[in-house]
Amino acid sequence: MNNNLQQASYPALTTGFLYAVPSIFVLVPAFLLGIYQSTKNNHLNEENKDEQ
Amino acid sequence: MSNNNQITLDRDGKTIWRFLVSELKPKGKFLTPFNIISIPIMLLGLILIVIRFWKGLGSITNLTQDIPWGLWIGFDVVTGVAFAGGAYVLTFMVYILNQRKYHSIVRVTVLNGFLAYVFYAGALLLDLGRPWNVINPIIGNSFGTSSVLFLVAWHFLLYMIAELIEFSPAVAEWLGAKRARKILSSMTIAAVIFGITLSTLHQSGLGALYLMAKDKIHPLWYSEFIPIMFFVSSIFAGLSMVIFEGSISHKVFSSQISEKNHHSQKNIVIGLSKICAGAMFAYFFLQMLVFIHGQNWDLLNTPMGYWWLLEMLGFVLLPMILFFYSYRSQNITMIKVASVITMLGIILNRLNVTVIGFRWDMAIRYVPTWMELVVTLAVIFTEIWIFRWVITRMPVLRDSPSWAHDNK
Repeated sequence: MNNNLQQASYPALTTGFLYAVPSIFVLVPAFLLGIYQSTKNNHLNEENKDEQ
Repeated sequence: MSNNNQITLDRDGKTIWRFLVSELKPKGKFLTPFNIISIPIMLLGLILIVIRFWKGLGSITNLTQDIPWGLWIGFDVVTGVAFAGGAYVLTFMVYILNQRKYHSIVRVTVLNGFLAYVFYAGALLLDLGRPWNVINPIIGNSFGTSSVLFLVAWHFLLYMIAELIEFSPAVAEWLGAKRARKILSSMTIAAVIFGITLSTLHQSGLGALYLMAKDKIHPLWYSEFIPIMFFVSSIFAGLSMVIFEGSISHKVFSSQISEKNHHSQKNIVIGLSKICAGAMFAYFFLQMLVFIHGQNWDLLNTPMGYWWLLEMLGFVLLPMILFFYSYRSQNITMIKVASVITMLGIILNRLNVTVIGFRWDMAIRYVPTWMELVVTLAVIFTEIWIFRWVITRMPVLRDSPSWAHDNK
């Protein structure tokens, strides 16, 4: 038997997820761009070392 | 002079037109086992889709007001999108982490992801009672900004555009459009970063859709962490699909693949198996945390509990151990076996949330009709046909033309 009755309203169940969206949209691209810059610099440094 | 060079040199457009017409003609043998099986199913699927739009959902499906979402949402959309996750994981590894050893498979993975979104997300149209309303979240006719579906709708659309941009240099190389390729290539990093952000949100967003069904989903599959579970599982679902699809592509399209890429395939598969094992460990750990936190011990000794244990032990823990063991022993065959078990596990998990564990307590359960299965198969086969068409024409598995390297 299903005892898992829903007491919260429907919007309340998804509020947490939807409120996280704006912060993810700001933080994830910034984080990715940071990693991209550091790995790109590492890659370029390795290439320069090889050339020297 | 090659076709590509002719197109680049001829600016009046006539050559491009002639080239496109010639490319539309079939290449290779027509009567292959795959074609013989897929063509009748695709034709039958097309007829069933016409009936569905003509006479409504009830004419070919077992969907009701109580069970409005069935196989087409559970498998085509929710499972298909998880399998397309390989594209964002691989672009992250190649373009963001600069792991160049995976570069040779990035285009085919992005193509696979793009087509999966076009076809499986496109299959959403089949499931909408009033399909013309699909445009509403985009044009602002009752936006529904407080709904998860609003987020998923926009993300699907934007992610398809991002993947198209990521894949577009291959189209430019096929057409011999040097200038266009240069411009499109310069947009790749921006498209990748945007695409990964979108994927993070809509992979979890598909899980968030089911947050509202707290009293409808079996407690062993429902938790407030469904979005995180969907996101983490999309990592190894996508990579397992990359391993599986790669092993088939390497046999079917072996003539397209250079000797160097043939040799690097083993290293790539072993590297992917390590990531799969890590992601699966994180997923299994999270599932155990949620289970212990939920205090659902009494539910284990029920038929649904055995079913949940089968999913967790047989389709998460077992392939995780196989991935880890085969990574240590460098056993490619075992990695392929583990990837197939993982894919079956993902299908099982998504169907458990969306179909099997959904309204699990109802007296009359939803079982899809044969016609729903045929339409699903028709969608999959059509995607494979387009995938094959692109692979045999564009530089996806084969190396880019030499001018593309000079043009960077």
